[in-house]
Amino acid sequence: MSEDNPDVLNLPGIDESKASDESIVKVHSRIRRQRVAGSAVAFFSSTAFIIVLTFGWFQLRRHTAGYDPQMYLSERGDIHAFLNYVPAGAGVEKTPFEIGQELYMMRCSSCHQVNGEGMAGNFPPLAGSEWVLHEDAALPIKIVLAGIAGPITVMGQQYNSNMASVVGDLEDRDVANIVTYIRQSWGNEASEVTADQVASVKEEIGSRGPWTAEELQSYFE
Amino acid sequence: MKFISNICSSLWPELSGELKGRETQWSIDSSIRYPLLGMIKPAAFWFVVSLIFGLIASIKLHSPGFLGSCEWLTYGKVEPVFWNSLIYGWLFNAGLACAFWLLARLGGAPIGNGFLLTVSLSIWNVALVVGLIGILMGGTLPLNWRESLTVSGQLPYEWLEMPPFIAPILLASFIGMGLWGLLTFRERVHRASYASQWYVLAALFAFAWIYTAAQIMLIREPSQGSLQYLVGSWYANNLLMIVIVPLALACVYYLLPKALGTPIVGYNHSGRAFWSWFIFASCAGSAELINGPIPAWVTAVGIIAAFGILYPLTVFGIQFLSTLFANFTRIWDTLSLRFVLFGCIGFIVFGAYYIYGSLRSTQEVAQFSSFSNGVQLLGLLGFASMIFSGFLYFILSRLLNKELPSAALAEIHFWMQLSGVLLLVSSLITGGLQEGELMNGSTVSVLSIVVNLKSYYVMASLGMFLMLLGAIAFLVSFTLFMFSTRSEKEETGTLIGESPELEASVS
Repeated sequence: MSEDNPDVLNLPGIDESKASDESIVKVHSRIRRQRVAGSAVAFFSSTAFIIVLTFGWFQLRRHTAGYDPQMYLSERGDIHAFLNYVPAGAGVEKTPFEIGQELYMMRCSSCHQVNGEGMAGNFPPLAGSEWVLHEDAALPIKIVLAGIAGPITVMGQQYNSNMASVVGDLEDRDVANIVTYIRQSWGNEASEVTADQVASVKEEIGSRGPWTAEELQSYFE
Repeated sequence: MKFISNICSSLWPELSGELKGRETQWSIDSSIRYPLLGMIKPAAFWFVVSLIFGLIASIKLHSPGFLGSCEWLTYGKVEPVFWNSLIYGWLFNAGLACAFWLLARLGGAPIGNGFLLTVSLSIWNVALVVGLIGILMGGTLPLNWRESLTVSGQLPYEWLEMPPFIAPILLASFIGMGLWGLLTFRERVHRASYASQWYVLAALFAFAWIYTAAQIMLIREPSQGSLQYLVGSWYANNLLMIVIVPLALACVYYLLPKALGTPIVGYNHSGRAFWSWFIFASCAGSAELINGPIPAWVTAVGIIAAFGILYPLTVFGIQFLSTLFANFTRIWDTLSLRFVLFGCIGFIVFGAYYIYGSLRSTQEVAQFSSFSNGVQLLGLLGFASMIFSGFLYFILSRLLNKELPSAALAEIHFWMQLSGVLLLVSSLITGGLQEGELMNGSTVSVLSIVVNLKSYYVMASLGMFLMLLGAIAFLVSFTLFMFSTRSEKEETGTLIGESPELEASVS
């Protein structure tokens, strides 16, 4: 780079130092100790500080959800909507029959089918079954509570499979609802079952494994 | 043979003639020359390497088939290698080299313990190579701490992707370097301290703290559930805001009075700016987790902290720009000040976008788009990298007592870095905002939105490419600095003149 030609973009080989290190430290530490009245930095930075405080105040008021550690929503409208959320259909009382239907669909219908017809050769039907429609409701309650395993004859057909108890976690009322549902659906017309009946059967049989058909044959003699 | 004698003369120069009042400076520079060149060398190398990976990652965003057959270079590996080599390779080496030089110079005495610094920085760079190769190799994630010592594989946390067994080595070598910084500060001759020294020391403490805390809470004793993401974003935000940015601020505070010859305008506000920066910036990480499974008040505090940066940003902006504009004619003739001018403007724009990007209304649009990457790159490349580049030119000629080997290469470095960062950052930021708006406000399919944004990613690749050219120019410049034959003028002690005293003007 020639120094004679001013047209050429010129960079000096070395960036000159215009201040010694010692004087940088000393002069600036003197400036820090001076009191300066009214500077551009003071004016604009205090303005900025006020803006920050105002912004922070609004944010803390509006968006902290009362410092609730469980609350992830920050907008008031969202929080209000969340806290007042009512699921569809809530507040409508269900009849015992409908509760029984719901439980049957969840726990029983995979084998006995939605229409109660069972599956030919594998799972016996409930519709019209003498085991379900027996005038002493204790019979179906016993089977639902403890399950039943091994060969069984239903409506003249031979079946051989394994039913485990699927109601271990339910309250007596809900077991009663299920038994009522299967006794009064698909053309079945047998008596309603109450929670007290379930409770007394429970007390009678205690905690036990699945029945065999032979054990329960006494109901048909 | 010439080659060897040249490098020897660069490392152990013998100057003829008098030093003309520069004896102290020359003795300081001589004492720190070897370790600093040991940091600048890998810095220049990592600068090029990181931008090569950045370019590959950027091209893969608009041409997914590019290098598709190479399993070492899939997008998921190239992208973290870019960020990690950029931060831990280029910015850490360059930033710490600048920081340590100004610690030594402002301390006013030749440094001791150079061996500690040399060993630590060598371990740091070797560990970094191993860690990045670990990312490229890939592998399974370790299930627990014991297993992590033997298994390579990439961690899923931003800027902590290197395999876990590297972490203790990196931390130990960083503690070595940080300890050297503290000892050098303790041995200083001038008892008063200057803003540059505060920022360097704070950055040293900050990195040791955030790296240890993040490693323990994410890998050693992993925290459960969404706390992991809180720690992850806290670490990434703090690495940028209270480690890299303070190192660059330290360089600006030093170089402005040094090269302009006037004190910083409004310097008496520096203390407040320092503390408010560290208080606000260190809490701002949770702002980006808005609408995530984090208690609402945590993100609210993050957003307030991010907004609070407005206060120190105002102080910095007025201090730096007033000082620069008061001496505007000197800027263009001083290579390092050109970088600093655009670095300072980059910093103010970065701060403004950082605040803007953390607001709720912006995050509705820009969250999960390329917007936040654009803002991070503006801080890393548009601010820190610009400042460190300028500062390195300033210290290289002093360390080696040599003139700039080629003004043309320096010009290429400057213009390529400036235009590259402008293209890259503006396309990522506008592309990200547009992506968010299209995703929120239109019913067209996601695929057609992505296709629509392709031109932004092509522009980002072009910006990456320009930056790569600039980095190569810097690498060549540095090599020429080291290997050029010493001219007669460069053998004399009067090549660099004596520094005048700084005059305190009333401002």
